[in-house]
Amino acid sequence: RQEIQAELKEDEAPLSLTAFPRLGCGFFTHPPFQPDPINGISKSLFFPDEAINQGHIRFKTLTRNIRSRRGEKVAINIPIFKDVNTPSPFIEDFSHLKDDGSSAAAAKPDHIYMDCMGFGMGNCCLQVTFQACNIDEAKTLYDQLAGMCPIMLALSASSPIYRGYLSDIDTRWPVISASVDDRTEEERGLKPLKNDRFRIQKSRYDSIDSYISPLGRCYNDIELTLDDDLCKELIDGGVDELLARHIAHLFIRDPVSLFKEKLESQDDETDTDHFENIQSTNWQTMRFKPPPANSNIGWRVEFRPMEAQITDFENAAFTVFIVLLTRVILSYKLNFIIPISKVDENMRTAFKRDAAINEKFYFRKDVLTESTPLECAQQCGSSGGCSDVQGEYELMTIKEIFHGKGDFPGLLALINLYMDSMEIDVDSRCTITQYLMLIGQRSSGTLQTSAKWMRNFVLNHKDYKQDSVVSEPIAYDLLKRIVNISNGSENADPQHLFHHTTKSSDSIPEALYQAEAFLDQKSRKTATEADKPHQDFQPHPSDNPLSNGLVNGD
Amino acid sequence: MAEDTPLFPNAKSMLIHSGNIINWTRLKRKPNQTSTEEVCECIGKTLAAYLESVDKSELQNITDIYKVNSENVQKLDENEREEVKITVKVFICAPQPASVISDMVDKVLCELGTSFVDTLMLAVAPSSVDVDDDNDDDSALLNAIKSYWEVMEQLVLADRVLFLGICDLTKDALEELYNWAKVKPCIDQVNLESCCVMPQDLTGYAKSVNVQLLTHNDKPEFITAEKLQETVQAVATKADSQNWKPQWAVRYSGIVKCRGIIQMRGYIFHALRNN
Repeated sequence: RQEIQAELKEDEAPLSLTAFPRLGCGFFTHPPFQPDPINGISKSLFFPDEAINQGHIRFKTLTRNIRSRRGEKVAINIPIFKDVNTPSPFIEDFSHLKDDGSSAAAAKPDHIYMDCMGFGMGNCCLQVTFQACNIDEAKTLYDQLAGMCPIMLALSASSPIYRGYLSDIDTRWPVISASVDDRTEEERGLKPLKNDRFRIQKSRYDSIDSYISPLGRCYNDIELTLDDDLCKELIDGGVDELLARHIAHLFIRDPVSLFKEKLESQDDETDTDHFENIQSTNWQTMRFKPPPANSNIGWRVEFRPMEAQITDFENAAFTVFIVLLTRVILSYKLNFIIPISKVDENMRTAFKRDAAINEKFYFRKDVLTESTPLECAQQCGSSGGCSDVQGEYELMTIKEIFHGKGDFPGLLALINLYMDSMEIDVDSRCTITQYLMLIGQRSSGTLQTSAKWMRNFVLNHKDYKQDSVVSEPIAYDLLKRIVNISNGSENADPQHLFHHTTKSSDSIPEALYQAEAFLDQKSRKTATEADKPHQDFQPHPSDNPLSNGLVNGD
Repeated sequence: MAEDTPLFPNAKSMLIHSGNIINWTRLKRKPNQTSTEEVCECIGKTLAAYLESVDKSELQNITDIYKVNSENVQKLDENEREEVKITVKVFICAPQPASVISDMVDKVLCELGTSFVDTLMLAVAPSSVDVDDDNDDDSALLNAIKSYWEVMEQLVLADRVLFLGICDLTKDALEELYNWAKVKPCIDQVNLESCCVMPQDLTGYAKSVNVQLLTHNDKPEFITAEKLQETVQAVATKADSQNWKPQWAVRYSGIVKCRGIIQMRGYIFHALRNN
């Protein structure tokens, strides 16, 4: 943040904001630009082409191709927050914006209407990628974290305002999902299938549709639209059925961005570009990432649902929480899997206003597996059918999920147990304790989510007219406040964020670093028994940087 | 239960190995425990398994209770030894001859099937230190530590242990130990309660001599006689539980390096009874 600020002017600030509240409102860019609904790339009534990232041709290309493939502009309709003075029904007049009638038809009453990719992809979020030690661990992490997606989305909610209006949702998810929905009318089921191959249930930006680890096999209760030929080709090629189906499902999508140079003779021994093309334009809650050709980066899993918070401390807290959760899952062999249809239901719950305190989510009752993963997988895999899974999950509040309910200790207790077994230096422990305190207080409702805090800021603003409108002065004051909180010049509201004193630094303590290095070296030697037992008290000076006292003559 | 005839009236010692308890499936545990509750649960469950396995009449004559939860014991894979960091923490609960440290480490090495452990930590319960009129508490504690430390140094020189650590020392005590020791402590483990309010003299000193300050969450009296007796009573009888005194406990944990995954965690525990 400091590095970026150093490059900016005095009246500019880098913000880690999930959604800019007045995106698409009048002249919202600097310098100002006029949208071009007739000849522009997106044909948006609100979003000028110049606001599309100019850094790479990909963004304009995607914007144009998504619209043209779909056959019409994308239609994002988000329920507006109905306040006492909000017009009812809430219907906007777009005639002065050069609407040819299509937007008026696409906009729903009582909804905030948005009409291009920029409204969704112009948001930002917090994504965490994990390296797995092998493909099985990657599949396990993918499946185990899938159920956490709606929960972390709800907890991290920080985007209640769209196109200058207070909405009835707290997170970006439905906005960004609709913003890149390139499905044709046939694919959406509005017309019978004639030119298109499949009826497709979801936008290419949405939650995952299947589990890919053996433990998840019995929980894939959504019908998976997939390319059967591709699936067969993968299975014939040695890919296991679950993974083959997962990939064949990704590949029902057309490419929406293609570079001529990449089309010619790709050598798939050395280039995975074409795979990445489809892989990276399926934007889902989780992403399973095979290693690219000629790389030892390994198998990775990306956790993609979380919203960005306004301060570095909060973003670090959410990131560290989910990282620790993966270590807990792998150490204790926990199982969070519930039917994937229930995860989808949870997603629809997660973006509602105040979901973190008001809503309940399906969650597995017993995360400590009855049998070992191997035994359970064998059970699930051997018989054709799966045993009844209905009784395995129940509705829980966010507070219960994090703090416990009955025999379930709660995610935070499990993480604390894990940390007690690890050798953590005092500064790191102090910092992590504060991160977990934030997660604990947000999940118990002691602290407001960022979305609630922003919403309250608007509702309590002196200029707010109880009509859901977030005017420029209100937005300015909100952003000014966010700037000052995020750069540390003002304290956050105590109902939103407590005062923290983390000890994070760029490197681990020197003593740890030296010890780890020496340990690696020594244990390798000792493990292979290359060392002879010491004959006297004095090891070689080069061996142990930590026994300086010894060498100096005791 | 209280008036029942004792099951093992002649037992004078107990030695319990819990095996690897990291998998919930093997030892159905409550996840919300302190480490004291954890070791007690291990002792209780292992003792219960022992009582099941031995003939009742034989039990009456037993003087030494010895039980290893062999189905839980997990040996280290030779090929993966260098990927795992084994830490052993010794809890001295009652005054011991210093040589027990060597015995404890040997037991762990044998159980895990390895020739060395990475770190050996020493925790001396205040109640286990004999205080006489000459010394104050602090110097008595330090003297006790030094006697154990000499044995630990031998283990390092024999390549059975790579690093030594100590627990809960103030700056002055740490400094004295550090200056005196032939094999220096690399770690001073402190209770995590103080991690955000560490005394500056301690952090400054530790930094100057490259001692890592790590956190733990163990009670200073790791397992009291009362807690042990409660545990025994719950699986046997009141008469069986009387007079047992914890001598020492050792906890081993194996962490997969670079991945932060706990691979194993287990206890070995020794108690004595003099009727």
